[in-house]
Amino acid sequence: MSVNAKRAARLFVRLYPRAWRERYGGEFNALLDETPAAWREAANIAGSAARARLSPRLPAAFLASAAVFAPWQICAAAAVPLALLVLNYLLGIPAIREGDTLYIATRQLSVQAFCGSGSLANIVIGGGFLGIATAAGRRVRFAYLAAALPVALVAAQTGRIVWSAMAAGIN
Amino acid sequence: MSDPTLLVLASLAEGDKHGYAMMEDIERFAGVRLGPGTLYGAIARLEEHGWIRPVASRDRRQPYTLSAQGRTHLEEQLAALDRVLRAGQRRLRQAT
Repeated sequence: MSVNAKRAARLFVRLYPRAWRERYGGEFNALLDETPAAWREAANIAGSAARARLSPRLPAAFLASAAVFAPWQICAAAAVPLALLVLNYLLGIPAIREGDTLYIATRQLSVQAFCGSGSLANIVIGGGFLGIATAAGRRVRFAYLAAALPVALVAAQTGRIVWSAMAAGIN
Repeated sequence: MSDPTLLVLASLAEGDKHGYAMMEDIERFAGVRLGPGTLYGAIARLEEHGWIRPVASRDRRQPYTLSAQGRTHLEEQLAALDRVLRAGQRRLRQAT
């Protein structure tokens, strides 16, 4: 039994809406007194408290659209890195290639970093929607699957940017 | 079967129980360990629908009982599950 897990569980009970705590708080704490404390239980309480807060406030239509929108948003994040990968690698078209090596690397880096930051912003927005929909108890397994490839692609492209920056001696 | 509301209704079909007794009972008959948050999420939803209701208690532990509507709902849900079960088993037999 973990004392810290028990303490965390008690703390997470406070995350429930006040009305919920007034109605169920006493008996819920009595249940926690009997339940062996574990981090899994504490996490379960935190997730349930988030659902109790989100579900009545956010309309079901919003949550449904968030769950559908999130993977599309994240897929859009992969479009630019994918295009750059195709141009640079598969078609053999060099990125902006002018001037000396450092200049080329800087230009290439700035273009890719711009696209990369846009992609990351898309992922953050899409991930946010996914998180809200998940916390509200929506079934979003398909959304996670749909988001897996774009996230991997953007991560690979971001790694490539960092790698090229290191190879060019840019910190 | 992992719908917490159905598991709680099935547990209460045997008789009145408080939260911890439900958790233990559900783990025993369904092999599913409900977290405290999940259990009370289900209890709140069931009470909202009028399918369960609290009964008088002397201590902090609050027992619940199945209402008449709750019993009807449970019967309907179990009948639907039974249809799925039978169809699945029949199709498995036909496939082998």
